[in-house]
Amino acid sequence: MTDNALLLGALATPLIGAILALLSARSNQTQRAIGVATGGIAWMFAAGLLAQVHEYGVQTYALGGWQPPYGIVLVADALGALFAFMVTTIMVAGLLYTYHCHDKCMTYPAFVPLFLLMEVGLVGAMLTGDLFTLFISMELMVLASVSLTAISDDQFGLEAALKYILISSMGTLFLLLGIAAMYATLGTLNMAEIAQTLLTGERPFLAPAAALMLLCAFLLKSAVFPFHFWQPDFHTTAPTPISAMLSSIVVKVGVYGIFRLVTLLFIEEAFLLERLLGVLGVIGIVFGSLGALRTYNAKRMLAYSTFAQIGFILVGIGWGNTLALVGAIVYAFNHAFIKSALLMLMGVVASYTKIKTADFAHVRGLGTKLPPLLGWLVLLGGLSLAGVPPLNGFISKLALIQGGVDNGDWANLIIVVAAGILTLMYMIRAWQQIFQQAPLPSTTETKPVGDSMVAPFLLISICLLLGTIFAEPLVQLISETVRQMMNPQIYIAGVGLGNGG
Amino acid sequence: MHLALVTAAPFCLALLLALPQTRSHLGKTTQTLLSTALMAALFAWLVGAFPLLQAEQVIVQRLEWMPALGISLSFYLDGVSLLFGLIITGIGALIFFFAGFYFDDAAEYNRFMVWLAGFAGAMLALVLSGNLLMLFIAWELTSVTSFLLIGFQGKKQEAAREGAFKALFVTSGGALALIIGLVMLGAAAGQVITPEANSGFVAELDVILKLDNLHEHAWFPLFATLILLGCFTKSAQFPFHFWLPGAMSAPTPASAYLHSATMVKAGIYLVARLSPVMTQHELWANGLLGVGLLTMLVGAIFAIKQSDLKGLLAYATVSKLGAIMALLGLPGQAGLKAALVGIIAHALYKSALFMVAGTIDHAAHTRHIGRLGGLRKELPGLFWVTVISALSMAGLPFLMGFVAKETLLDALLHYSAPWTALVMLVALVSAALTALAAYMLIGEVFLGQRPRGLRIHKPPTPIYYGPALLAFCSLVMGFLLDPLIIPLLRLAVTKSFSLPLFAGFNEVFWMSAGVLVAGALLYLVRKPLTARITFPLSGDAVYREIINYIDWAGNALLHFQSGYVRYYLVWILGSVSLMLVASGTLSTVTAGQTLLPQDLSMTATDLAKIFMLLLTIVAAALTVVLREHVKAAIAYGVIGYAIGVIFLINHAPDVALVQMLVETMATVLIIIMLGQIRPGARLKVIDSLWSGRHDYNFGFLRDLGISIVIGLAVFVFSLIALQNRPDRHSIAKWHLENTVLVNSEDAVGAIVADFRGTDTLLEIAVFTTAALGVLTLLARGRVGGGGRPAPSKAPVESTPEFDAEAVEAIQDATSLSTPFTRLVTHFVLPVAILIGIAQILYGGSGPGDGFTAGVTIGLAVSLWYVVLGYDEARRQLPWFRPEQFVRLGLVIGIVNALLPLLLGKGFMGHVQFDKALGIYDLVGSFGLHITSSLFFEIAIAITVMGGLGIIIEAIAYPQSRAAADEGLSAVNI
Repeated sequence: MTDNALLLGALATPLIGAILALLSARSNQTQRAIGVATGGIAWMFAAGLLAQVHEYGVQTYALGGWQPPYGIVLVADALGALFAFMVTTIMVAGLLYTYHCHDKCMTYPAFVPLFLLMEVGLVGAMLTGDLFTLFISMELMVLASVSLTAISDDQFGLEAALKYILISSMGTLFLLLGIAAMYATLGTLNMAEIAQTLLTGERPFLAPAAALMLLCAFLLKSAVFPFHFWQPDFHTTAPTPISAMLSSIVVKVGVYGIFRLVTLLFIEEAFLLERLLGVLGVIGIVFGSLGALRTYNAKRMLAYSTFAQIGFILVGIGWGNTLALVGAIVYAFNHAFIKSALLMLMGVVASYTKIKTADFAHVRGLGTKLPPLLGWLVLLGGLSLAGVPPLNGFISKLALIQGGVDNGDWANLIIVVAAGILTLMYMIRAWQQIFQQAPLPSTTETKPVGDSMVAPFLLISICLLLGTIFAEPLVQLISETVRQMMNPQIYIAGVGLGNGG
Repeated sequence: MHLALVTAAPFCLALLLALPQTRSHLGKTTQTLLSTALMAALFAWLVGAFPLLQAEQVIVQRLEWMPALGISLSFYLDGVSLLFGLIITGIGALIFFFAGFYFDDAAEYNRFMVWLAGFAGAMLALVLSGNLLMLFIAWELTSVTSFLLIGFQGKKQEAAREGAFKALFVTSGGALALIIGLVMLGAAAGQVITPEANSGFVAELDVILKLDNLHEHAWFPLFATLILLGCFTKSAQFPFHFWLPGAMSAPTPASAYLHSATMVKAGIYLVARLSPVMTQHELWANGLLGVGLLTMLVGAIFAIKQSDLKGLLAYATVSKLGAIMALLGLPGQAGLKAALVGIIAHALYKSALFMVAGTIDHAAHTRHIGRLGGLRKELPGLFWVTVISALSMAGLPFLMGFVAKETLLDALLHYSAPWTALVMLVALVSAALTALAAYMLIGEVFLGQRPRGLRIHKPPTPIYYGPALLAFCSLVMGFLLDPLIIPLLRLAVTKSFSLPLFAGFNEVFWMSAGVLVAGALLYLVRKPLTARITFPLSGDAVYREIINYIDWAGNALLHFQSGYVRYYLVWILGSVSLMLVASGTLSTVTAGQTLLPQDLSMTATDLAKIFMLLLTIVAAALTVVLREHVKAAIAYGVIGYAIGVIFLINHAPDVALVQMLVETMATVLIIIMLGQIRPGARLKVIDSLWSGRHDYNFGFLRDLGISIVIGLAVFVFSLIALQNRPDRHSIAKWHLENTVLVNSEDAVGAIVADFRGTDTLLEIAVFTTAALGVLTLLARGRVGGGGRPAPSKAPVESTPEFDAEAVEAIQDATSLSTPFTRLVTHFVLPVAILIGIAQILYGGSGPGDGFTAGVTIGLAVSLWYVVLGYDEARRQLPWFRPEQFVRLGLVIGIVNALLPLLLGKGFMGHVQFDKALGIYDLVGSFGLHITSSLFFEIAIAITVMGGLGIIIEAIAYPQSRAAADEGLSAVNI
């Protein structure tokens, strides 16, 4: 087993960037530039990693030179590399948005370091092959996002952050219990070794309970019913680039964890988990879509929409067959791009209001005064979110439906797809309200300069190219990923622990 | 030429028109001519494909796109697609031309044409597609362009926004059903082709259309229903018809093109396309027939009630679409011929009539039938166009509409079923009402007196060209059946058939004539008739109700978002309890498991442990019960200390030390923070927590129940974990045996600093994160929101005797500043620093414990802040710069982690610097080992000290009490 430095690079770059940004606290502009540069470099590492994983198979890096299972090992299999690539890509957009954002909180010297520390947590969670490092990475990510939301310009940010950290500590408890159970009964923290032991028939009594505990922790991080209550406040009040990250990639950490649970760690318990996920997914879809329809704030609407979108992914995981998993991953990928772009776009709209808010009462008709491109981007994003072809959201929905048909779960399939019309409803309503209705007296005053829409423009452009006309490579990549996920031995052997099956 | 190019051409036109250069350099007329010419050229190309098609029957071309999902760019051209293609391009050319004169504003025209051209491309792609999924993509693309075109005036008109939303809601809703149906169809086709392999997904039309037993598949009823649902919504069939009249807010050229000639026929196209393999099943056939007939009747009734010219035309279109749908439901291919003839006739006269309506709107600025009249004198050309087209719609011999009606009645008459009489009755009544509607168009608008105040401005002459050409076609097409229409139909209809212009005075002819006469008679009583007709159930009202219910449900669900964390936690913990119980996890875990250890004998240390455990329980209960916060905080500290003692009893003094230090730190911080809040405010909050919102007892019992389940679960969980320690190898064993690898005898230190060093590195990042968050949060709104505030220059003044704040400060637990405490404070810090350094260097053995060192020094500093207050402490400890400590610690940490990379070792690798530098023995004589672990411990110590310092400083900063109280009461916990 040879160490692949790309893995280390993807993880260490944002950490070094955070420290550099902390050192250059005197110049805010330098900090932001460091942020963008760091994000770019980390992206390059992740992209290179993705290419290598698909060319040469699972890549690892034994930290400190201590071989698994005794030391910590970073592992990039197809799934991890793909998710790390997704995270770093969206992160670049977020940091780019920060570069030209007029929020006051972005002038605080701690902002960029915290942002980069959040990336450390995200990348760490996706690339580690060790349960405890996963735990620490998730804590880092949570704490960074809580701090960033607490210092938001939005006066309710602090309250939302406080509530989240209280609720999140419950998730921490579940996660710790699950990990402790695994360690106590299997004597290891290495995910490959746990998987290998559980596969070879050694079944500790606690395995189902531990699986359930870990599942609860991941569901909490992904804000799935009934663990979701913190999310709308938290995602709405966060500063724009942060909320764009939270609602797109931070919630995906939980999704990633669930993928690991059902395809690697707890194959035997997967059936139980999948049934649960199907139910929770459907609840999430209905609840999120209906909530999004009736909420009063454009950013909050998108936060509710995230419930529903995560629900779609969970239903896909719940179906569990190859096509459905492809659908779930494509969905996760597309949602990351579209949701972050939409949140940034709403942030741009909000940045033109006098008091910086995305309340419909304040942004109604505002769009008629803004550059028309903004309106088109929101419309494209909205239609894509709703899965309207030929936009990129369609292929995710299509793959999911194919999985559902393959599974033969008609009732859920029809509910899930029918709820899609609600997505269309709230997105079109919001678009019409902001970009078509006549401005209200309260929205007549606008700021002359708002945030730059370069970042969301890039995101949507990428979607339109790689999610539609040239979608084949992405679909291929994800199909290959699912093929590897379906065989846990690939991961285990990649870490060097399997006995060849 | 490849069919892909034909499909792409209109899209290219749209892109060309969207270019800013086009807008600035090409005039409106040029753009009009260009667009028209392109569509005409496409029309000509399709006509040119005719001989080839006659030879080959079907042309299939394919490009790969996304094979993994079954999407390809396939093209499938046969008689049916050719017919639709000709309508799209032919009518398209005329409409594009017409639009050039309908719009006065060039910019508006350009914007409109971009979407219209885009729509034309989507529609062509739809009818030429040879892949079900590509067809679906095109299908939705037409919905989206239709949405944009209906809402074209959305910035000015509420109705346009609403109509656009409604149309998109209904058609996309149907499309959702359609896509499930299509995917199921594809999967079913795959199973039919290869029964043993389950995973094949077939979306290619040419393959599917060759299957002859698809209707026997078990899924057939479900996917047929779903596909029909999609087609019905798209083609405005009852009860989904209501979106079409709403879509009339679109500019008239769009209505004429999308909502009459082409898009609304997409559903019909798909039904016709799939019928060969579907119609054997009676669900398909009867569904089409029933819904089609109902739509035909309802549309005709609504049509004559309309006061808006376009509304009338829209409902007449609904009726005609219903008729065509019903024809497609006839068994075999009996109705296909009549349906296709009907499509041709309808496209010719209805597009013309829509353009007439648009011209009237343009000329008279109203489309209200009541406000129009006597236009014959002002617009004679338009009058004749209307007469021909409307009479074709009514079915007057020997216009094209007549042929269509004859074949329609003929087909229905030959349909033998128990309900044929009913079918005929519906068809005849609808036909009579349609005739009435046609007469009204002529009579109400063009004849009679011109109402006063109606001003006509003459439209430009070219606006007539399109409608006139179509009217001419309606007039002569009937006589050109043999050379033009029949060869075209022969491509689509495989059975032999005849299509005479006049089949003799048979029963169909008499029926047809009777309908015309009935229409004329109804015309005489039209006013009382239309006033009498009321329809109890309107699709529009149902739609509104549905939307209202959805909104209501949304509002209801939002109530769950109460804003109170305690209720959220009830949900979360309640659900976890439920999951644990319901999944049977706990019972499987406990079943057959001896929970209690076999050996229950006790030693004295066990008794001590039990005492400590009891202490934790009592202390935990006290934290909940005690009303005075300082006491509660101390009770909280006792929990931690008791656990620390248990560690100590279990021979883990270093863990116990860390535990106790952390507990001390936490308790101190809590007490300092509580000191910032007025006691009254605190009590108010705790009272509200205890009383709950509604019912004290219920809430209390519920919370108690959940706590017990969670507590039990965790208890059982831990017990089993302890009872099932693995016999197999454990990584802990390896760690214990291999500390020598890192020159340490202390396993904990080796794990923290080496074996799992990266975890620790991430942990100090977590620590830094928390510190940065606290710093920024509490410093926000002071100096630039980032830096720490400077101490106030003036020394603290002694306050007047009965100053309220001063009294409070004395009563406060944090006022501990006495000469004795000051002395202790001054003495403790240097000692703490010494202890810290010793901890780093020698704690345990070899490299010590940086965390303990950091916390120790941090605690000593916090004493300064507690005793001396913020200003005093800042002045007397100028060297204590916590933000710089954090930076320094992180830099040392990361450099130490990266340095081994240069030396050929891995990230966080273990390096023995003393050996490398040859001073191993020298420093060894002091009991020291200069290794990377040592530097790492130093980094940890400095970071932790800095982080703690930041938090202490930030908390100790004197802020106004009112602000603190307010902050507390504003949060709903």
